[in-house]
Order: sequence, then structure tokens, then C-alpha cells
Amino acid sequence: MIPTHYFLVLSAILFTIGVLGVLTRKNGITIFMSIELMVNAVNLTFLAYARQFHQTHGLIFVFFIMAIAAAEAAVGLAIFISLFHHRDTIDVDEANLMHW
Amino acid sequence: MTLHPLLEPGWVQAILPELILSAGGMLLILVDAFLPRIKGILAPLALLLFIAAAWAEALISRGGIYFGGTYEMSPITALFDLTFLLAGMLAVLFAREYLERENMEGGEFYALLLWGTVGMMMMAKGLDLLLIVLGLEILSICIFVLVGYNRRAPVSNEASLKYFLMGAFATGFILYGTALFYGATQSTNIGVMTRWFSGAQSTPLLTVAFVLLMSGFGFKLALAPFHPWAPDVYQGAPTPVAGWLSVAPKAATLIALVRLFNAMGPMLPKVSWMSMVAALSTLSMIVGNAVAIVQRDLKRMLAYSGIAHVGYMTIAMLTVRDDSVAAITVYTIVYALMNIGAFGVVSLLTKNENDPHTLDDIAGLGFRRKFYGFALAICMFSLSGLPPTAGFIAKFYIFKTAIESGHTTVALVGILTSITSVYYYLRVVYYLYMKEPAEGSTPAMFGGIFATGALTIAIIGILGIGIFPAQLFQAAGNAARILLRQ
Repeated sequence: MIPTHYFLVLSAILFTIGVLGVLTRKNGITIFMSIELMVNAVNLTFLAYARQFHQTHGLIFVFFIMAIAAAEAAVGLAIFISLFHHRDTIDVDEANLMHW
Repeated sequence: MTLHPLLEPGWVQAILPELILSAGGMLLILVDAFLPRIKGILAPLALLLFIAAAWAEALISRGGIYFGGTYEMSPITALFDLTFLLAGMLAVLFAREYLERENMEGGEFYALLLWGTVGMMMMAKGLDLLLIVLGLEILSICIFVLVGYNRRAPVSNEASLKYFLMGAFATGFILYGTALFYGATQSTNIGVMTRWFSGAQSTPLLTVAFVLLMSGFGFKLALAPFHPWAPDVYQGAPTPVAGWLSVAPKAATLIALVRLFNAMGPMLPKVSWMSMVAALSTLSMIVGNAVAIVQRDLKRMLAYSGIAHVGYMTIAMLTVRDDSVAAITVYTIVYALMNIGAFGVVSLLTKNENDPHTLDDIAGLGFRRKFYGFALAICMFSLSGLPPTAGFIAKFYIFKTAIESGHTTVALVGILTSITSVYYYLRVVYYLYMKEPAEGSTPAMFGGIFATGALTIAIIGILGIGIFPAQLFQAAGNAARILLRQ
């Protein structure tokens, strides 16, 4: 059996890639994809622990996280479309109407 | 295996407020879709639903733990739920005339407020990290839509985009923190975690989990240094939404954090986690108050003042005791009244939503529209913490509990920054009563019976709690003792 910490290291790497993506990318959709990567890294962590503990608890959590991510994606894409109507771009650096 | 044992007798009563609000939201959307001619009843209907939920919360629900140890009804959850309902009601009252003026009233606006309240109730009552996260997400998704509700205004879109990206990012951190807590404690149930923490040693994994969770919740609370989204989002959001958003989600997050900190209680003296929280709190108070001084846009000023106020509330969480939890409870109630009231008066200014609402817009308002000016002045006195308003007693109690638990330095920073804050709050009062409006530049005020009613509630609440605080503090104290005894 593959040891649990292999999965944990992999998910930590995926999570970090996601965070870096959010911080460096400019395109709204790409940022959102990076966030999805973070969420999926979390799913992997839950699954690895659930397998180690022989529990269904972590597995159920994953289902809920997938539902949350789907709902977020639906609203998020609507927001991007609405922004695109006004600006013809979803580059987040262009979203600068307000500054302090 | 059956699902039967999960549903204890009395579970319907336990979630009756949530059921009323969820079904009511759907009803509102259906009324709007099929009976567009009676659009005028949407807001009164939403109010009625909030009142029905409050009635269910206060009179029908009985204390206890339901759904297999994952859902708790107790006096403290009732107090917080009533705060959420109060915030929702004030938001509906201010939104009614605002939406009419902007010509965008719709059933979904009120429905989203109702559903957001359900999410907050789940956060307050959830005894499992799964339920807390789920409640947070229900709330967040409602907020994403509400912030961008004014689709024709580019600022509203932009605010929605910023809140969406930041919120989803923060959710990622909260989820990862939850996953690591699950890995360390083998459970996501707060009750099981409490037992686990009472005998456990700290590990680096736990510290990482705590930092991730705290940064995620820090985003949601707009604690510095996770605050930069707040001013932009409040400025761009429809003003009644901004008022609601600046209060209710923060209250829900605070009660969830109190629960979590309480579960970790036995471990906290062995680790330095709370000094991180103290640093966040100190930074929030300093950044919030310092930047608010230079703001001329009222909504942005209130946003920075909100960052400072969360800093004050976080002081009381450094040591979870019954009187500190009571102080947080009272503070959230008072903050709901005064902040939604202040945003409410700003929402009455008839202006293009894309333009900032500056101090010049309210110059001389105290003489033009006496009641609105008076209400804004009362809210400002209360926010700055001057007696005899409720803001004073709430702040006093926070600093008192902080000093009694030995957090003198943080409390001192709080008191000093709070004194500084008087400057920018009273500047608003100065503009209201002592500044001549520039010729023809002041916007009209558009308000009717709904806004006046909401402001009356806010004023009575602020002065009532300020002059007769004993009963509320006693109720909050008793509730907190029951929460902490478990």
C-alpha cells in the first residue's frame, strides 16, 4: 500500500501551485482554475486521511467540497460574463475603477 | 442500517427558523415570477418571514443537540441568530426604497438575504467543521450575487469580481486547514475534537492547520493584513448590501471561531497561536483607524472603520471566557445596529452608484433632513464609542475583559486607536451640522416609511442598550456560561 504521506506531499505541492497561480496570473478564468486546483488538493488530503483512518467521514466531506466548488463555479462564471459585458476583458488588472 | 437514529425527536423545531427562511426565499422568487403585478409586497413578505423565523427561534426551538451531535441549539446560538435576523431585517428595510429608486427590485434580492441568513445560522449552530464550512459557503455564494446585484453599474461588477476571487481563495485556505485538522484529530466534529485536544500535544501539523484556518477566516472577517478587498467591495456593492455585509458575516465567523477556540482551550496555553491572533487584532486596529482618517468616501471610511471594529472584537477572543464571549455577543448586536444604520443613511443619498459618496454630499444635511442627519449623528457617536450610546458600553466591556485576562498591551492599543477614531467619526457630524453645502451640489435624499422605520429601530436600539445595558449583558453572560460549560 502506498504510504499516506506520499499523498500528503503531493497535495501540498498541488496546493502551493494553486496559490502561486492565484498570486501571479492576470486572467480571471486562470485564477479561478488555480483556486480549483487548491480545492482539489484539499480533496486529495481528505481522501488520503480517510483511507488511513478507515473512515467514511473524510469521503463525505469530499462530496460536499465538490458540490461547493460546482456552485462557486456557476456563480463565478456569471460574474465573469457580466464583467466582460462592460469591459470586453476579464483581465483582473483592468478591474481598477476603485482605489483608495 | 437506517437513517432513523440521526433524526432525534424535536429536530423540526430545532431547524424551524432555517426551514422558514429557506422555503420563504423560494416563495419570494415564485411570487416575483408569477405575480409581477404585486411586486410591492415582496419587501413586507420578506420582513414577515424574518419575523416568523425570529418567533420560531425565540419561542419554539428548544435547546439541545440534534442530527447525531452536529447541530446545537443553545441560548448563545439563539442570541446570534436573532442578531443575524435583525441585520437581515434592517437590510430589507433600507433596500426596499433603494431598489425602487434604482429600479431593480426583484424577489431574488430578498431571497438571497434570507438564504444568506440560513448560512450564518448554520455557522452559529454547527458542531461539525463540515457544517461550519457549508454554512460559510452558502453565505458566501449569496454575497457574491448580492454584491454584483447592480449589474448595470461597472463598480458593482468589479466589487463582485474582487469579492468572488478573494472569497474563493480564502475558502481554499479554510478547507485545507480543515483537512489538516481532520488529519491530526481524526474527526471534524467539534465535540470529538474537544476531547482530543484535552489530552494532546501540539505538533507542527496542527500549527500549520491553525495558521491556514486563521488566514482563511481572517479574509472573511477583513482582519488586517487580509483586508484589502473590504473597501473596494463595500464601495461597489449596493449600499444596503454593504451595510449588511459589514456586520452579519463577521458575527457568524466570530461565533464559529469562538466555538473552535473553546474546543482548543486546553492546548492554547502550550502554544503561541494566540499571539498570532493578537498580532492580527493589533494590526487591524492600527491600519483600520489610520487609513480611515484620510478617506473622504463615506463607504470606504466605514469599511476601514469596520476593519478596526473587527480588531476590537478579536481582542476579546484572545482568552475565551464567559465574560469575553458575552462582550463579543453584545458588541456584534450593537455593531449591527450602528453600522447598518450608518450605511442606511448613506444609501438614501440619490447619486449615480458609480460615483463615490463623499463627505461633501452630506454637508448641511442635519438642517435639510433633520431626522436622517440626527440618525447618522447618533450612529457616528456610537461607532466612536461616546456615552451614553451603546457603542461606549460595548467597547468598554471588551477592553475591560481584555485587561482582566492580562492582555494589557493589546487593550492599550485598542483604547488609543479608538480615541484616534473619534476624529474621523466626528468629522462626519461636523459636516452634518457645521458645514455649508456647496451651491447645488448636494444630492437629494430618497427615503420613505421603510428607511425611517429602520433608522428608528437603530436609534432606539443604540440609545436603549446604551442607557439600560444590564439585561442584555446578563442574558449574554448566561448564554456564554452555558456554551463554555460543555
